[in-house]
Amino acid sequence: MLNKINKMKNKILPLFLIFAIIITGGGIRKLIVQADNATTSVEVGNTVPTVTGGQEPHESPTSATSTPANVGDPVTFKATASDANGDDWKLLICSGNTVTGINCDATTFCTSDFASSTAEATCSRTALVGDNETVAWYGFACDTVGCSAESHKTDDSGPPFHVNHRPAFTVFNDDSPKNPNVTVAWSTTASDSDSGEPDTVTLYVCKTNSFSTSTGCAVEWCNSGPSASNPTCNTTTPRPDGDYDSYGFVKDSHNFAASGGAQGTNSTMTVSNIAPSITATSINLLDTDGSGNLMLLDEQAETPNFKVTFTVTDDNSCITTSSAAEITSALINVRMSEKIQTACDETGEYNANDCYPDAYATWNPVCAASTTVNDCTGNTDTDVGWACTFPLQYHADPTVANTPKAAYNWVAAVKATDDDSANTGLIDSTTYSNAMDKFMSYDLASTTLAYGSVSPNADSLEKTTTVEATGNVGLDENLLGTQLCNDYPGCAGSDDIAIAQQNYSTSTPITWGGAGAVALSAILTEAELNCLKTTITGTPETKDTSWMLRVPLGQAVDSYTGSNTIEGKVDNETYGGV
Amino acid sequence: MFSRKILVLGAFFLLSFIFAQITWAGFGISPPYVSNDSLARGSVYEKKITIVRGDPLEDLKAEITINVPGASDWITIDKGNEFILPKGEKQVPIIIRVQVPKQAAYGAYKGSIRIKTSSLEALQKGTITIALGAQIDVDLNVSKQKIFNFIVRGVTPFDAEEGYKKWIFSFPTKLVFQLRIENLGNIQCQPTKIVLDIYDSNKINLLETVEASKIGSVKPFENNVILASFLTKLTPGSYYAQFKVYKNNEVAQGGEGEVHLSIMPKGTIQGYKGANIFDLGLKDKAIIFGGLGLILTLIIFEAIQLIKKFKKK
Repeated sequence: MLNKINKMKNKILPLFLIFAIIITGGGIRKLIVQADNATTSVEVGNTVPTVTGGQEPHESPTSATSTPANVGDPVTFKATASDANGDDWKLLICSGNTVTGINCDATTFCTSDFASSTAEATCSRTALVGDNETVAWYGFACDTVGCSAESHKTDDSGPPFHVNHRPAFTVFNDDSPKNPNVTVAWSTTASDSDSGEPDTVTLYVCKTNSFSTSTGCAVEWCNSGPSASNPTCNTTTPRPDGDYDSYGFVKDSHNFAASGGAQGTNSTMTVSNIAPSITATSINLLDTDGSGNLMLLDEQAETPNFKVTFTVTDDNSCITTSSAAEITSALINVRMSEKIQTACDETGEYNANDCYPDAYATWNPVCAASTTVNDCTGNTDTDVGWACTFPLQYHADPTVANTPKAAYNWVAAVKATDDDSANTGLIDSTTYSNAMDKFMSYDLASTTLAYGSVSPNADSLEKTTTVEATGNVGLDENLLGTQLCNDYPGCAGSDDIAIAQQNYSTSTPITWGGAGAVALSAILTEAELNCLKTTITGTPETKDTSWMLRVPLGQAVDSYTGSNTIEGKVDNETYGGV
Repeated sequence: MFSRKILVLGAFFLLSFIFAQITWAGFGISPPYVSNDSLARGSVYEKKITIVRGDPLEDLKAEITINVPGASDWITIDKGNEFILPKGEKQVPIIIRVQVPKQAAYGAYKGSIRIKTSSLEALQKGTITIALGAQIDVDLNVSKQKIFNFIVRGVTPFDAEEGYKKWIFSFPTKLVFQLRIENLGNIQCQPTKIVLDIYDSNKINLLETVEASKIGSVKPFENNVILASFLTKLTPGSYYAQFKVYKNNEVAQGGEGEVHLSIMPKGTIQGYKGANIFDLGLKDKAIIFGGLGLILTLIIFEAIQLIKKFKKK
């Protein structure tokens, strides 16, 4: 009881004293009420807010060594307090642990808006470039008059707060130009000044200027992975030659990107052009039907559509960066191998017997990429097939067995050029060159030869048939005939003129029944015509056969009809039989 | 009296013989021979000959005469022994087929096939027409031996995709080469083996040596393409391969050279068919076929049990 009295006294006595000062001091006259009746008065003093236990000032979200606040991001503080006066209160975060009144003695990090007593107050402070990695702070709950004693949580959400600084990224380079399909590397000068928990930096090299610290490049060339400093990364160069954008981005281990400097700059990576190549074995010299020996098929004219196929290899792949064809043109020189390559690559060296250079304007091979030879499937495909079609003249030299040039064959020299004018050089076909086959063809130039009018027991004038060589071999001829009769083809009458009345000779002059004259027969007989092979286009070699008819004595006057056959054959002595 | 009349008439009349105007000019054949020195009894050999005309202004009749002593009956023409060379057609191919009887005597058969042309129009009276023709030389030999001989006329690799893994199985990179083979022998021929030495793109380092796992074949006397496939470990990239195509223990004519290989990432080539289950390695095959065998055994076992139960009932 005594204690209670004492406690009451202790509380009442100061109030009484204050009250006494007020009414006796005269300074606050307004408070003096003059009345007739005795009055009571009280002035309630202010009490500073009281921080709620467990809700002391703290960071929310918590910054920690592993989760610092990036520079520029807010560090948010929260607390809950109550005020005995029921006053609103605010949270004050200071860099030092003392306040004067309601102000920090040192730097004020943040001050919240007033919150109702028992309500939570929040204030934020942006992490600054100049902040240390860890920054001490002190929390106070203040009303308008004063502040509570400093308080804060003691777990990770308490002081200090942790600040993460941007990495520095000043230099971004690549080591191109590089060949296709080799390693290209990007290097940097980049680091992170934060050392509290050693911060790493990661380089991302992007194909486009699009980067996110959370997901990386929209389209990536490479990334370095975490690196203490100066991160590098590399990848394999694409095959198509040209320039490729490569944007560099650096972020630290807290997904905080560098800013300025080399961040987002484009270090253009260059892939060099490599000259294409052709393996000789890929060159095939083909007949018009694609198989077997080369066969001429047009009498006294060019045979079209012979073909050379080959595969062009280009390390830059078969397409360009814009998906156009990497190999833009090709040419061929076709020759008989008796001539070396350099003897058949200029226009003046054209010779229809054995040399067809592309440079000769009148000879027009047509070359184009061929999917059937080798399809171009994209920018990883280093091969593309080409096919050239070309004509050959009727007298191109044969090289099959038993011909004068049998020791040789026909060869195609091929050259392909890419879009940058780099070329393969002329490459001769080797294994798959080809042989030119024999083409036996002839023409009869003398189409209107006639014996004319011949008296019985008289010889006609000497007449000639002229054989022209219109293939690529020399010629002999087989001859035969029928009797001449006035009721041809029945020849049932008795006035026929016997076959043998016609004589022929491959030399001139002919004398009927004389030296060299051969009586025509119904049996095929070879005449050694020995017509040479034509060597000049449009000027065929020719050989005459002389003819003479003796009309028998007593032959009836009439018109007589018959048929002789001239059968062309290869001059076997020069161009071989079989 | 009769002969005197002739003499008198002969004194006053002349006989007229005029070579007809030739309405066809040039004529030829390509090639002008049929040759085969390795025919076997019962074998068939075909040769295409193209009949060529320079100025085919009218239809002509072509007549074939075969004169190969001892073998004329073996030879037939796909168009028959008489056929028309049509107006406007500068080239008329014919197939000469040699069917060697099973009882044919061994030895050489030489001769010729003659082509003679004539106009379908009646000859003008009082003219001598010159018919054009050509001779095809024939040289055949029937051999007792079975002849295995061929020439490699071309080797072309197709683009390939890298191998891949599926489940626990590793499917290898499958290379497919196209070879044009001219079979000069009288039996079906298949290269004895085909070997690839595969080098890196600089042609310095030998990466693999592989032998064809499958090789096609060509019928006697045919010139045709075959496929050969190889199983490798190559990854996407550019390589060079030295190939050797063997005929018995020697490299065949035309069977040696170098080709470039382009191996691409999986999925690059549209419609590409890579290695299949039969191309797996021995270990993988053992797993698959062992598993299948086990399942089959279980099925058979169960079936036997069911049959036994059924019989008891």
